[in-house]
Amino acid sequence: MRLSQSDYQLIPVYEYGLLINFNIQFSDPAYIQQIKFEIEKKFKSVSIDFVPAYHSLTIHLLPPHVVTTIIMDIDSILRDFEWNEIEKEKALLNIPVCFADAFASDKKRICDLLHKDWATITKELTQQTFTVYMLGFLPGFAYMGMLPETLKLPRLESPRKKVAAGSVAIADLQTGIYPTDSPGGWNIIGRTPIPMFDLKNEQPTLLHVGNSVRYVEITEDEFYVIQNKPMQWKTQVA
Amino acid sequence: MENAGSLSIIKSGLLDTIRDKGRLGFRSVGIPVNGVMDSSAYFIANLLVGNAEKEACIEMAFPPAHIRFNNNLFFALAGANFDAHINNLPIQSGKCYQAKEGDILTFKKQVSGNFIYLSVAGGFLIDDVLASKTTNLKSGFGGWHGRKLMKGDTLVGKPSSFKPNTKIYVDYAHTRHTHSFIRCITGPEFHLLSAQQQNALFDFNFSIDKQSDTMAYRINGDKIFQHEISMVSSGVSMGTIQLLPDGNIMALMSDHQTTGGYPRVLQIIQQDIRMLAQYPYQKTFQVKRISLQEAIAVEEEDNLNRNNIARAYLKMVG
Repeated sequence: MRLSQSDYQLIPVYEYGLLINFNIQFSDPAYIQQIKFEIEKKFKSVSIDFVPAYHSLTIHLLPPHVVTTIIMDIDSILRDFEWNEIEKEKALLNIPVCFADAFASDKKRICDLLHKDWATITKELTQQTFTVYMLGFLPGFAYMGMLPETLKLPRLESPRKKVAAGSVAIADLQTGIYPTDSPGGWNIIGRTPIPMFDLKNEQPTLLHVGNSVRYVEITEDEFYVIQNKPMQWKTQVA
Repeated sequence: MENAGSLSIIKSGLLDTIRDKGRLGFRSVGIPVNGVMDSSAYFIANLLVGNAEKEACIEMAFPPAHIRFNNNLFFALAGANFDAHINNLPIQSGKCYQAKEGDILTFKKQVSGNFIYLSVAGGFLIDDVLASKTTNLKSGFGGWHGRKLMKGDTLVGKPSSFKPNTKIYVDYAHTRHTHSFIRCITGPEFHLLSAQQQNALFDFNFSIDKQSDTMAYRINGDKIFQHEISMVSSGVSMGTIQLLPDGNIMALMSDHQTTGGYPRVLQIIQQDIRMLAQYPYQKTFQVKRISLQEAIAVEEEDNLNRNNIARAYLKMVG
């Protein structure tokens, strides 16, 4: 697969920032990741951050390198870009989630809006394999998708002042896990005892763009056991 | 070892945090930059005490803490004018001072600006977290135990052999607001506004709402911008002006998130982000549209000015 000129736009967003907006719906974030690696390789010395999102990649440059100095080169990289085949078999991360009442603040709302019982809803959720499309909002907050249409819900009318760290939430066709206590407007369906953001780790965030993720149901007792010894939970499955 | 000393907070301020250039290189996993509100003032503060450009300072909003110097220590202030006093003598921003053991630094009133920077020669002895000393208040890490400074905290300075000249005054006009407009380039979603709304952005009078913080300045306009524009989340930066679902606009500031899902209608140029950071609440301003080329020209001139100021100062100090 190759990009054509009409597949993307290059938008200088500020003196040191370039936004690449893709007009294609990518089936897999690995497509943007491949472009990101290619650009990162060539522009490492003049850039600071590469922020992938659903249909975009934002490049933050290292001052005093201004955006106009790279735009032509980025354009030629994209024009010549050819994707490698996307690996179908990717490492899968199993995240333990407890759906007990104590953790599912929006249980009633979710059941009412979806006209389904709790067991059906949580079963549907745990049968899915999600993909991490982007990180944002908070350190380590992964936007994952896609939920089946049967679990599609609007956000809360007004966000909660405080959502507990580890809360697993759904909104529209996305799911995410709050890494730290924070305000939040998504529907809370459960909680994981596994830390999503831990500065003690070399990689401070558990999830990264392109990861495949499944939710594995655990009981409340198991929740506290894993919370005490999160290292004993095998997140990664081959 | 010369000039290594410490200072203590003897009365808490409203929002005093350890800040540096920011936590760079982690935006792809959602970790924000959390840099300074006014990078010019921060630059001057470090320059005056001979620090590297990225050394951590204390960024203070009004009212700032009362601070006691526990040893002789060279320090400087830059940015807002909060009528600073050492003991009962007024001192100036833009100059280096030598504090004596027991000296008390206080700030009497908010004369102009919103953020002031306190630097000490050598910088503060604070551990890096993800390659930066800056504070992430929201997630509670970096800086001083991931929180704002409070009464009882004692910050230790790193040794420095720098011999500052306490007679030189360094002015940097951009640390004070000088005009009543902010210059912007158009944002990626600007074209989704109606022609009438696009024009309104450059006709309206705006002011900073009291509900603002270091994440975002909420901006009041003559009217709200009714719209039904939606977009998928994408990268944002400091100075990005977003249009909220309720029709209000906000400008992202130093503690902004790495991504946002609201239409990015305008982007403030770097120089005017600093001006807006220090701009008085409720005083009106207008938005002036400029081209990317003009924005870059302003920025390059600014960089040149900074280099010249730094060179001239270091030459005078010797």
